[in-house]
Amino acid sequence: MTARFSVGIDLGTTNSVIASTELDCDQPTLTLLPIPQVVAAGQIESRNSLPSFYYIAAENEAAAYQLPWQDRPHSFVVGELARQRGADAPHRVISAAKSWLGHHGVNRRDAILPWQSPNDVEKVSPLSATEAYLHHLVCAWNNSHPDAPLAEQKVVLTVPASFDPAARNLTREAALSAGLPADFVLLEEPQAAVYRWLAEKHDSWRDQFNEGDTLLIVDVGGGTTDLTLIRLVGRDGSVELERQAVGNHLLVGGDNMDLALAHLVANQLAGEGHSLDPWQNVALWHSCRAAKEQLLAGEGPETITISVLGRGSRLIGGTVSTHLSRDATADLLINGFFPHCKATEKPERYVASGFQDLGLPYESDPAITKHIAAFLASWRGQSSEPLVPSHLLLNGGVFRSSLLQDAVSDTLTQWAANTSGNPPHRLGASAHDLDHAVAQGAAYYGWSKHRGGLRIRGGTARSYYIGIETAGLAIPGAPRPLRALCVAPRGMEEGTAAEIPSQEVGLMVGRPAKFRFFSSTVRPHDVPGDRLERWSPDELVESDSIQTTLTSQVASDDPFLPVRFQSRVTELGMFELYCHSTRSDEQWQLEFNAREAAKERQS
Amino acid sequence: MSLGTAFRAFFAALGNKQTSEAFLKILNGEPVDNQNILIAPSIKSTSKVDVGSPSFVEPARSEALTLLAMLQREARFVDLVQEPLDQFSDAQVGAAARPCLIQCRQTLQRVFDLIPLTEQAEGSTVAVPLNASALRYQWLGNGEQSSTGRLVHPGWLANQSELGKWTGSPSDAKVIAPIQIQS
Repeated sequence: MTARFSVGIDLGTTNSVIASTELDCDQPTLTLLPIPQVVAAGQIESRNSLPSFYYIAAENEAAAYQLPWQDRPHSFVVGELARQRGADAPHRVISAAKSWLGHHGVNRRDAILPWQSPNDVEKVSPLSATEAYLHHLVCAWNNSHPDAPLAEQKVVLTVPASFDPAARNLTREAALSAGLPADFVLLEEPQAAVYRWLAEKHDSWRDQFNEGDTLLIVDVGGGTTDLTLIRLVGRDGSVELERQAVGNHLLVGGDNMDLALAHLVANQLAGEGHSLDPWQNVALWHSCRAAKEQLLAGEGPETITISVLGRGSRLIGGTVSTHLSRDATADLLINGFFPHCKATEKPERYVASGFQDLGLPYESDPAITKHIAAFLASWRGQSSEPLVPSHLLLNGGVFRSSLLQDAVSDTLTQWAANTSGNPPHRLGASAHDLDHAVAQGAAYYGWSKHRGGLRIRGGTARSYYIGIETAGLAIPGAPRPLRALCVAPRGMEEGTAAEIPSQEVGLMVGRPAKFRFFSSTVRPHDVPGDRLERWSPDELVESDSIQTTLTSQVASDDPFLPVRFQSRVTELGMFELYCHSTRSDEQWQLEFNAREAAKERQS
Repeated sequence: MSLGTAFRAFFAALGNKQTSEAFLKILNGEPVDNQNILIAPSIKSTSKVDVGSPSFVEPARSEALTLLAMLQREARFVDLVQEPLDQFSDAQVGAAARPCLIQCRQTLQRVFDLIPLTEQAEGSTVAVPLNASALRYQWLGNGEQSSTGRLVHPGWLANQSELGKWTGSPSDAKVIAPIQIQS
């Protein structure tokens, strides 16, 4: 059966969205799918997004949370109810599973979430939680499209640009077991935001660009911030978009800002003698989000009153209120998250204390503008002038506050003025689309790809390396020196393969062969076969190890088999690494090993 | 049934002087002119949640109860209107009512997608179709009904009714808000 729809799925850290368009049309109409979900015991409603929260139900509750497509109650609930339960039963609620999926300090297949919850609560792995969200989305789609099941559609799933190959592989694995079609495509979130903008402009988008222009995308989600730089290159007499660089995975987002504001207000209330219970704190968090949007809008009020309703049925008597001014809010959020800073500034590094929790590596410096400065500086390369992009696209719900949009673009304008450059031109995004742009852009990309239309080129955002221990005398207590062999250059295009010119490596037949794996966003000139003897921790970032077990059919007395490496980037955007025998046609794929990573890191 | 009627009556009376006066007459046992009672026509729900599996039975409670439970859950509506007002100052009532009303509006907007029945401004002269439905157009005053008139109230229309699906058992059908207990 042929696909009728292009379906874009934004699997967000805090919210997931599905958008779609018919494939067979000249002008795509991007529609959001209403997602049925449990909002209270015994109550199902459809919402435009599915909060990415997972609630582990107590035994007696399960029946009240059954969904139309479930033939028996499940032991967990995802969506709005799970998000709300985060207030009164936090140890049963999983949040930010996606950040855990991209965090290789832990074993992503181990049942470790909710993190640090008591032992009597059942736990699940980041992989299973991700699969549960996706499975819910698949069921929601199939429920409203019985004639066009998702497994038969063109599906585009978005991932953070900063996800490394191991995290992408895990996402893919979760998606396939959740019921996505085998040929679904991964797309980076900031690129999806650009596609959303392109969908609005149709063919007129080229009018806004010249060859050599650069476009910076700042995508601030609920829990993460993703940076991408796109360059406009001339190709066959026309300008094309080519992705140049992506930033590191930054665990700071809109939720941090709302929580910071809630913290300020809670302190203010505490000063007035009111203490809040956890449930009221969540209510305060939500009112602070709304207050932030009101106060930091262009023509917003000077102050607004924030009231937290009383607990219990006595509502009026228990209500406490306080005032929040625009100045205090702007001061906290702009100075905290979008401070004016120099183009040469770098985020402050966390000074590790003796004891460190193994939890998510939240950013020690929440200043997004400093992260932007560091990102642009790392891309600048040898040039002494800081690179200031000619165009800027801001995405994510926090940018509904126009003062926050201005804070980013004013900072960039300042950098441009210091180098006598032009201020960046801000590409307009319709305000109500900021939360749904990624899913809509993904659906538009699927449509455009199907029709052979516009595409952002650029290939892989990083160069990739495997670690090979050098042969030599073993020194007791010291690890063998490690060399990094480049196996894929930055910018390796989809659907291409690269043979790695190197000396043969002898692998033992029948035994797992394991390699450490690294990536770099800042070494654009390395080519496959290059060897690095030493590097700084900023240059090469270690990911999950990769491994394979050679099972040779070719009879040989030699337990060692000489192999060479080959890397591929599939049409679906997946990075794959193979080793093949130099004596026969046999080859073996190297798999990312999410299970062993944590153990190795500690050893 | 009676609660559903009461609820519809409540919304019909809310913010409509004439209708509420008419209700007052009914409650006082006085005769009323039927024309003056404008009760929103009940709208067939076009809920997008299909009853996918045969194990699912048709929900056993009225949508009025579901709406009331929703307003309580999201906006603490029942808590607000059930609280005796005498002991509180206007400022206290206002402080509690504001977030409550803002949330009521968001909830009603999501469920009903409320829009004015006409786009025209209050006070402007509007054309009234011949044989216009008495549920859509209500003539005020003693003058002759004609083809135009001055707009006093632009009316309201629910573009949809998306109350979702209640899946509880019949014995819980009348629960508006659960008892909450701290463990």
